[in-house]
Amino acid sequence: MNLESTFLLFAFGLGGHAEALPFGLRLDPLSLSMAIFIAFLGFIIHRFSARHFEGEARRRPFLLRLHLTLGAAVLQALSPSLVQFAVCWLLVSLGLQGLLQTASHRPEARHAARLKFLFSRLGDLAMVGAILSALGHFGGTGLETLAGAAPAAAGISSPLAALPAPAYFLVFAAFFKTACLPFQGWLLGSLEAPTPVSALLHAGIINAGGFLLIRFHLLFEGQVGALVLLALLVLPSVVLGPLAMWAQTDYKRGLAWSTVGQMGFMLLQCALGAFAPALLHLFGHGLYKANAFLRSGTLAGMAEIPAPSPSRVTLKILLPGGLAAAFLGLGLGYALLAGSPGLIQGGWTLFSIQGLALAQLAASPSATSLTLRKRMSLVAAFGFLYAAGTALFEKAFHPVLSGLPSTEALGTAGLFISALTLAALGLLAFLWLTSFAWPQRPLGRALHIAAAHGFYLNFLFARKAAS
Amino acid sequence: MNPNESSLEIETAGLNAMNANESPENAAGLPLPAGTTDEEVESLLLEAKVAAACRAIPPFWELRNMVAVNPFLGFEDQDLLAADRLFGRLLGHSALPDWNRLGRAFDKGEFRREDLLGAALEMALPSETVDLLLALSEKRLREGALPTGRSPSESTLPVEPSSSRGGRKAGAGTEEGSGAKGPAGALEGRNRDLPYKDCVVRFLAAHFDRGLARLSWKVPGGLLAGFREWVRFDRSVELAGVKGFRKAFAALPADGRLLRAHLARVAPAEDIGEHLLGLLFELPGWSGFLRRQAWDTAQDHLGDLPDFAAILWACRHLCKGVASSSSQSVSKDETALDALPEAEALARSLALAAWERATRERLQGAAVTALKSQITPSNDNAGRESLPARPAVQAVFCIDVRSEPWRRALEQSFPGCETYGFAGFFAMPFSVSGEGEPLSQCPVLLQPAADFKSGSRSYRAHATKERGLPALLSTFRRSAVGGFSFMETLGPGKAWDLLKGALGRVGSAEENPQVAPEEEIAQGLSHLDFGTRLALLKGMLKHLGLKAPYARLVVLCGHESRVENNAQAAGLACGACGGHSGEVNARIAAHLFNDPDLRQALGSDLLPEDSRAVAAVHETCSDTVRLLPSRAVQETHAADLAAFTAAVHKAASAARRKRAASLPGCDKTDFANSPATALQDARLEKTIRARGKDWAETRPEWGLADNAFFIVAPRAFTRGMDLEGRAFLHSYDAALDAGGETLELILTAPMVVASWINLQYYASTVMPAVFGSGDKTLHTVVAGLGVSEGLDGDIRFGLAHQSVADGTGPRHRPLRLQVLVAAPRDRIQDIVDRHERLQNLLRNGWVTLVSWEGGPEKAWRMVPGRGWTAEETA
Repeated sequence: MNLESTFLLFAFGLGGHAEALPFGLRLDPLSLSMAIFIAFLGFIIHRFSARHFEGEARRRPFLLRLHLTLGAAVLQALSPSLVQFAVCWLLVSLGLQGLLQTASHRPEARHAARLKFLFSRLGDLAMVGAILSALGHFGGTGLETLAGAAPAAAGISSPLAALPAPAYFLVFAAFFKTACLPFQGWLLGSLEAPTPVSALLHAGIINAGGFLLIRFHLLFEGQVGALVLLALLVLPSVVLGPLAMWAQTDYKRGLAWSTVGQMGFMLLQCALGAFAPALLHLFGHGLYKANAFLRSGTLAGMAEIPAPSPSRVTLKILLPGGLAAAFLGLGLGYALLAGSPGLIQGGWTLFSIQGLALAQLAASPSATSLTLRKRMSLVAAFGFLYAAGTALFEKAFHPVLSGLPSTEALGTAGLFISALTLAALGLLAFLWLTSFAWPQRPLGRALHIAAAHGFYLNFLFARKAAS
Repeated sequence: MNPNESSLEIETAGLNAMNANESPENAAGLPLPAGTTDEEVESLLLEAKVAAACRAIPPFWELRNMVAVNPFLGFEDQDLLAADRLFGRLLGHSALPDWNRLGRAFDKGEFRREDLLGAALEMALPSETVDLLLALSEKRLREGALPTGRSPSESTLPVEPSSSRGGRKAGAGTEEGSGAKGPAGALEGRNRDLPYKDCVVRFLAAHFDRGLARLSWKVPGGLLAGFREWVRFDRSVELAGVKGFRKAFAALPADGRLLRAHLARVAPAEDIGEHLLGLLFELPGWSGFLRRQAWDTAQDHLGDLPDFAAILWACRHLCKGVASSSSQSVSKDETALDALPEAEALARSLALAAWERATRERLQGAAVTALKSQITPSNDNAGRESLPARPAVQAVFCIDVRSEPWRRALEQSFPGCETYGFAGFFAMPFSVSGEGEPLSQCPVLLQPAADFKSGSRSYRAHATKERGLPALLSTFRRSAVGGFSFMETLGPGKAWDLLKGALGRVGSAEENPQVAPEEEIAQGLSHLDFGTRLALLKGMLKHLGLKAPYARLVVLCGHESRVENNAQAAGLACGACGGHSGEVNARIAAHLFNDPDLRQALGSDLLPEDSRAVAAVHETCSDTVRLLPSRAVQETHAADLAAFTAAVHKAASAARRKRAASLPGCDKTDFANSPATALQDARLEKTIRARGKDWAETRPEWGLADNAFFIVAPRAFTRGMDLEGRAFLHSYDAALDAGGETLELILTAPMVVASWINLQYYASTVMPAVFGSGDKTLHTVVAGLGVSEGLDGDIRFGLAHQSVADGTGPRHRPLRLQVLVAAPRDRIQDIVDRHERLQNLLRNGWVTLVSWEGGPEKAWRMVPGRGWTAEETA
């Protein structure tokens, strides 16, 4: 392998050496479903924007930028190689830049766009690193090359092989581009753009980081260290994202913080090796978030969530009953469609998480007009839906997502990640349960206010980017 | 309860309410007990100054009850020029339209040179400056009208570049036009750089949150105590560069009064009132909300606002030296502005007055012509009474300007119908209580006098449903761990919601749960005794002023606006019904009208045996009118109803055709000029309905944009005139009101409300950065109370840019209200003499009042302090 010629070819867009061209359309269940997802969102957001800006001069440029961004995002979803993925990502990012500046007469909007530009380039840098590393380790960036070549195979003797494995770079690229803490500032800043931009960003574009990991999951083979690193990097987002969300009194800000937590969770699923559930999460969250943003003008009466009471009914009936109903539903779902959660990578961990979440829901004192039977049936139904959804995804995407040993099989590292996940979510559940008493305690108040200010993280970057 | 007493109560509720607000300086004249020390005197004086500043803050109604408010409420005893000077000094914003706007109107011929001359005479400008001002105005108007070199994208920027006072920018239209990205942007973010802003607005949102945040901030004590607790932990001010802020704030007195006294010593200001006003106006939304919080108690009550002023004062004091570049930029502006001659502002107000004068004169001219044409064909002296003695239908509409085109359409499709204008709550000052807070269904100047209990079956069923699955889903989504798995479990289902939204299949037809079916109206009123109900009916009939004998069918038509996904939807609903649908009021009124017991008590001389009321609702977004006849009326008046329903359909189509051209997205087909085929009408109806139901629509309708007139006259004076939806029409027959009581009510309540609306639109158009809520596409709901633009955090006061302008330019012409009253001059004079607020409004030019004593052709304008002058009619 001649490194120089590789670089030359690369510079002229002719790609790595193993495949003829790093550009093209990869058509498989994974890429197609992602492309369809983006196209669907694009359709909705186009319809929305076309009406939103009706009769205004900014309508045309806005729609143009929207379509360019969407086009690039679809090509990104269909990437056969890291190179195309990275190039499309850059294009998406630049298109988004234009959309974010729709209200460019506002200094806040300009500031947010600058911040976004800065962090996106960090992500791009990580992508360049990943490409170089893949060239060094595998001799190419195409999916076929990566699937075919054994790691560090064929005695490649380029200095690029000295780089860390591409998995590490992917982790950082995803980390920067999914607005994980503490780099979430630009995601909040993007609320300075019109509603459809937020919908596009929070539902679609931000997911590219997760999709990157799912798409190139093969690079994680044998890279337990990268998975542990990923889990550690996203942990703050998983815990602090929801916490900040709870304190937001501003509807869109609340949604943005929710995105931070959800992205963290999706990446955590990837770290568990549960790529299929992560993909389901990506779609589910995207659809939910697009809807939530586009309907941000609706003054839905948000019901206050009452504090859970440790009453006898709760402890003796609701909690155990809920747990039973949840596991019944979950078990039924898996049994019918997958056999056992163990067949899903990271399945047992996710299984426990979902069981706890549903039990807690069953014991929650809201929804007072539901009968006990109805409540339990609903909880069981949710469990079933969840299990059936993940099992279906696992089956449907098995051909493209297989090839990685499950976390349980990763030995100590796998256990470590599982433990981390459970600890983080346990901490979150603990915070949730205690948070109802926060107004009574100074520590709770301090935490509340810090969460309201997004843990003051914006002050880290605000001044620098503003100058 | 004695029926007479309660009737009196209802009638005078408005008057009392307003009297309470008429002496803003009351506090300054507190009687001092003997032996008051100097310190106490000082403290009292200070409190009086603080109170005066707080009273200048206009109240801001939260989204659910959003109604128009006069932003210049605190300046009623001064004129627009004075307000302009003050806002210029405090915020660097002008309260006068910029030359560009004025110039374009001048260029279009909306007013001419002669009007400038006339206005100069009206304004009684000193003669030595008149020539100079005229020359200056003309020069500026011509410059302002020049194409400004603005690119189209810039001209449609959501926030019009705020006009700054004086001629430096105003003189050069080009500079101002292109300034959207430069200086104007800096002005717009007046509070952007306040280091304490984030801390204050987050605290307020948490303190008043209505369930948007999961974490609640329930700290005992009032606003100040809550803020002190918040500041103990909030590091944001220190991170913004103010070292030791938390400690310093904790060291300040904990009592509001002591805190203010302390601040007056350590942070004295030349003019404390003005200093505080400046601080409060930096956050006009929250200040206004605090003012409104206390409003329900009494309009004079200030509640937490003085403490809020103290908080801002303390924050500003502790942060002085750091940043606060906004105040620096203001003071920079100030020096520049001080150097400018006062003449610029005078010239602008002269041009504004000329524009108003020309508009008024055109209307009067048109009224004269219309009256003549009404008389000529029938060629008899009783031209005005040429209608049959007993009309087939008498239909009463809200005075809202959107009723005017619809009434005209109805009169054309059904000539036997008489239409009337009356405040859309039909003198039924109710509050509607069900679950949660009661909703006030009457103008905000009144206190609800009676309660309607909405404990109906359908309503309860709705509430129960809400506490079922939706509540469970909401908990699932927002709970700690469930929030993640929710996305995998139910997130994919949202694809359906998205599709429904994008394809316009949105459940906008969802019935208002507060409105009960027919029987439940009676049930909701059953707790009111006979006397109260009789008094309500009597009061309504008296002031409605329907011509006797009443028609067989009396239609009471309230209005509502059904729009989708619009946080400010209440702003499009009926202001006379507290920013809600007028349906309940109309149905209650019709119910009382038809109540056999009440009719018997009333005697049949007033209400003919066969006369029945029918409630109706005008849905202003789609221009449809729904009739809500009771079952009994459907049986006895089937033929009348059928005829009227047919006319309503025709009228609705005509009204839609007329309106289509003004609606973006509807104007692709020239509906107004294409033949009115049934097919076209159906197509148009579909288009307009789809617009209203569209979740992405920012301009479902124009609301009250472009309002300019308030006409108090029999309909005969304006029938047949095209008032372009610019006029509030209040029916009034001077002959039926010899004592002037009805007129007094009209001038002190609906007219004041109309001027509130008018000035709200004026201010949102002229000074959008302070009194407008910015770009709708950037809105986010804060604390369930208001909208904020982007990440700003301050809730914004007033109307969004999209409500006063379309993509090509302004929709609302900022003119102050022109009031035309068909009543004898002495009667008007007598009423004005008794009401200080009216004197203030008139003397200071916030409204202009003209008497049509002898009809529009013999009009007299009231010149406060100088009697009446004859108006020329063009």
